[in-house]
Amino acid sequence: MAACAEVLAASLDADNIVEHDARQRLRALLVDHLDNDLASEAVLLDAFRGRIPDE
Amino acid sequence: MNDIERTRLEDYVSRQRGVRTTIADVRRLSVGHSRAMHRVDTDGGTFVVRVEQGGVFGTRSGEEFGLMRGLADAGYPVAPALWYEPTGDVLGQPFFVMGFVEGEELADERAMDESTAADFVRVLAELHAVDWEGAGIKTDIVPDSPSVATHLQIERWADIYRAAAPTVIPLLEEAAAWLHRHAPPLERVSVVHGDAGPGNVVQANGRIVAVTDWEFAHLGDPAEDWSFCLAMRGARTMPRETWMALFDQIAGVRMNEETWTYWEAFNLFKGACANTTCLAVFESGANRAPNMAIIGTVLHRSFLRRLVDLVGPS
Repeated sequence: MAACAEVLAASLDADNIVEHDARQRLRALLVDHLDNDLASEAVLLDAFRGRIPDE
Repeated sequence: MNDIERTRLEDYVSRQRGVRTTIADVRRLSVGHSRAMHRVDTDGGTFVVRVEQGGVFGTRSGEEFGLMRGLADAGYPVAPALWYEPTGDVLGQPFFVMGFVEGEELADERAMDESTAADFVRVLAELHAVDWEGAGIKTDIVPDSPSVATHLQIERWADIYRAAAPTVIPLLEEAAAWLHRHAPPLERVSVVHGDAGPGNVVQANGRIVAVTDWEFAHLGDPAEDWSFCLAMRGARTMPRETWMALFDQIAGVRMNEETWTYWEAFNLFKGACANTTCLAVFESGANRAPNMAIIGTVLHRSFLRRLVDLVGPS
């Protein structure tokens, strides 16, 4: 995770294709992971906001 | 508040007032996460007790108390901050006591009509104009110059998340780097509320009689507050265009879309970082309320997800 963080932060303004591509791939992977976590936890967010399903 | 805590509080208030004081009633006032708020009716008046919750959001009552006192001295509408108890010996957590400010009880705390909102904008602009040095206001972080103020706040929140989270969060580190790189210039450092908008005020008869909930207050760029009100706390109170028209007409606040986006990202970053403390507090046992676990996981991630889209792939 620390290495991923360093790569993302260091390549914010990446201007060569290889660096830019690596950055995009890594970022997409991390965002997918985040989306998966969010999808599995959606019911908790609803509960937090007072929307609990009846069934 | 249990009977033992109530008795201890009664003794504490009596000592502070210098006269035996009897508590008639204690009522939980809000469902806030970072502080528990209790209305305490006594034979010596009504007070509000604001109690820390085991380090939630990484903010400190002592700083909040000092800042409120300084603002009151400067003539700003805040509840009178009376006594600060830092040890936790009385209620198990640090707390401070305020005078009670009478206001309207709202079914929806975010409700605010346009006229009251206009008064809120005026009051918020007044906060940003406070001569904080002249008023002797002290905060934990004091920027040497306006140019470092935003950077200090980015690092403040990053440090809070780094201390609370079990591992580095790469997308949050990327956002910190992005925020540092794109920080707008600042000419003058102001007192910033940090959680500004409907729900954090006492309103009565179309006026703001007190601004409340100062745990996020600090020295920085007022744009943070305008954006927070627009995109977060006031987002469902009124349409964006209505808020922006009030900001412009009453406070002369005009920013381009890029700057609005920057401050929205900053506030999401702040929220995502602050929320990590809730999971740490839950896991440590300091506060086992389910909302702590939810804020520290899914709410943190929902802030982070919105932030990721704003920071965007460059």
